[in-house]
Amino acid sequence: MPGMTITEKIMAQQSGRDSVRPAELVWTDIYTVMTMDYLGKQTFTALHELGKTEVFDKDRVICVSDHLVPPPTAQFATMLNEWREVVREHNITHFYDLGKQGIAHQIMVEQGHVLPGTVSIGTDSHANTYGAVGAVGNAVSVSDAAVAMAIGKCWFRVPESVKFHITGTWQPYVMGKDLSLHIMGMMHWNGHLIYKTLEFEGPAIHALSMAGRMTLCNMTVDLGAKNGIVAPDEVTKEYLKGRAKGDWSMIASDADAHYDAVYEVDVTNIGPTVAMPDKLDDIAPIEKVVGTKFNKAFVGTCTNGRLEDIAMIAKILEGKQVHRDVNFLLVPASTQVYLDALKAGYITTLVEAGVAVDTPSCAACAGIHTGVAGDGDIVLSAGNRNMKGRMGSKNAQIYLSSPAVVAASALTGVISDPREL
Amino acid sequence: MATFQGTVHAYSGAMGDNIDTDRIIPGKYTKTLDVQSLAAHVMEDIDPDFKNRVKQGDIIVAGDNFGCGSSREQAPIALKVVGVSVVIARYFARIFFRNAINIGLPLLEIPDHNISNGAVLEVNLLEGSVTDTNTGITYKATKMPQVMIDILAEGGLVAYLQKHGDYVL
Repeated sequence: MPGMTITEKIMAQQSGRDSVRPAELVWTDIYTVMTMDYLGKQTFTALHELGKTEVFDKDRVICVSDHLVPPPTAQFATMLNEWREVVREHNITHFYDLGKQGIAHQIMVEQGHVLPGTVSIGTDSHANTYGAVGAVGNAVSVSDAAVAMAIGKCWFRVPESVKFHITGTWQPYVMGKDLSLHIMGMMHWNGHLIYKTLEFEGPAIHALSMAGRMTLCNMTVDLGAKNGIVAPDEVTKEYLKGRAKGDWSMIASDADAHYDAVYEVDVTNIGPTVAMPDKLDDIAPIEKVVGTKFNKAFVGTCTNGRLEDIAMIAKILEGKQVHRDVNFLLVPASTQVYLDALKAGYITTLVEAGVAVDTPSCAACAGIHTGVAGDGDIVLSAGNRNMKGRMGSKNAQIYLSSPAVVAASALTGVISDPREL
Repeated sequence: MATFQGTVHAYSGAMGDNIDTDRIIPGKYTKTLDVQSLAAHVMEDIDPDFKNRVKQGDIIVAGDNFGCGSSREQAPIALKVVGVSVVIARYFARIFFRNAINIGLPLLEIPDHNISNGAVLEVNLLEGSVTDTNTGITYKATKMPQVMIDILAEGGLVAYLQKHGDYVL
């Protein structure tokens, strides 16, 4: 019998099977279910429709306030009150509400609610982030989450596997985001990665930080994939020390596992990379867009709001000033990230440089509040989506890049190459 | 429910590709628990008259990547509420696909076809076959697994589990 890829192995193990093959349907044990303020109340309502008054395990249903906090309108404040009431009613152990809040996907990984070799789901499309620690992370909607909250299971179609073998040496100021955008430009949005699992491996992946792996797995949903995954290694072990809320063991693809396709990427050749407004797969190397004027800089989101990202922008902006024509907003991905950045002195450096810092949330990336874009705005964002209207007005343009490019550009008021500072 | 007939609303060419959940039901109308209210806005940005023309049992035919974008379950719910019996596309966005099954809206993938607006189709979900009664051509669609048909037959995942408590694949 041929071997299995890491995702196939996890799906087999968690479905009580010896093996699985692509396109098979499996009924899989869910390690953790995440839901958040925006859809959480509806998810609990669906749980009640199933005739359940309690969740399958109150330690493994993770509730987070991220899209709507702090509430910008009375309507959202009321929604949040209803959400808090239903979470408390169910005696949920891990409730990350305002004061302990963060973007759900950051919380899930950083607080150790996701473990290698397990399957976790969340009611938000970027749940793919969990693959960074070697878990199968999957985005679902209300019905799936409610069923998983009721009985700890979810149905899946086993995905075909695609491998990205990443080699070479990371160049200075080049981050996980640049690889992510490079792959977006390489693969395009033409459907051939739909339903697939994307496995990232090779020497340049072992050399990539956990923050970079999270960025890479996060954006696999925007490629249309079912999940993205990095097999656990020494970086994973180190990261999970003192975090993991459960036992786990190493897991990897078999040497003779089958892949639908294998792509080779040498990061030595990748420089800072930018996604052009409106289309996620319209990708340009920075040289092509240098000099483009913009007026709003944004660093944050489940893609690039982590300590490593904040350290990078602090390094670039230290002792300097944000250009007078640019508004720069930083929203750390979680309270823990915020606290770590405060203790490291990064926040002081950034505020002195003229960066506005707001309390952790999804912020303008969800187009709801905290720095939304208006008519005529040109935003340079370290987030994940640039479709028309994503951050607010349909008459705003959004360029996507790494935090390093955002910071370097904020100094000049035009898109700039951080390697040429 | 495994075999039925319906009239086609076809979206072809560039207009038929990448129809996202915001175009199926704009996000601003989804902050409600009243699913019937979605009917007044279904497909309104792409086909404003659709909500007036659509009849119980009608079929939507689209191109690539139908249902991409936000993971909202209201998108398949809105189509179901106005009576759409099945959506046919070259392929579906992943989250839309599972949401449709979960709320009880059948989907079929046909990679290549020549089905036009107003055609009357005979659909057999069990066989995964679609016959265009105007041209007599039968298309082979991707077959839906039995368990999905069972979930659909009960009207969706929540209804299925209410009845069976658990399920076996």
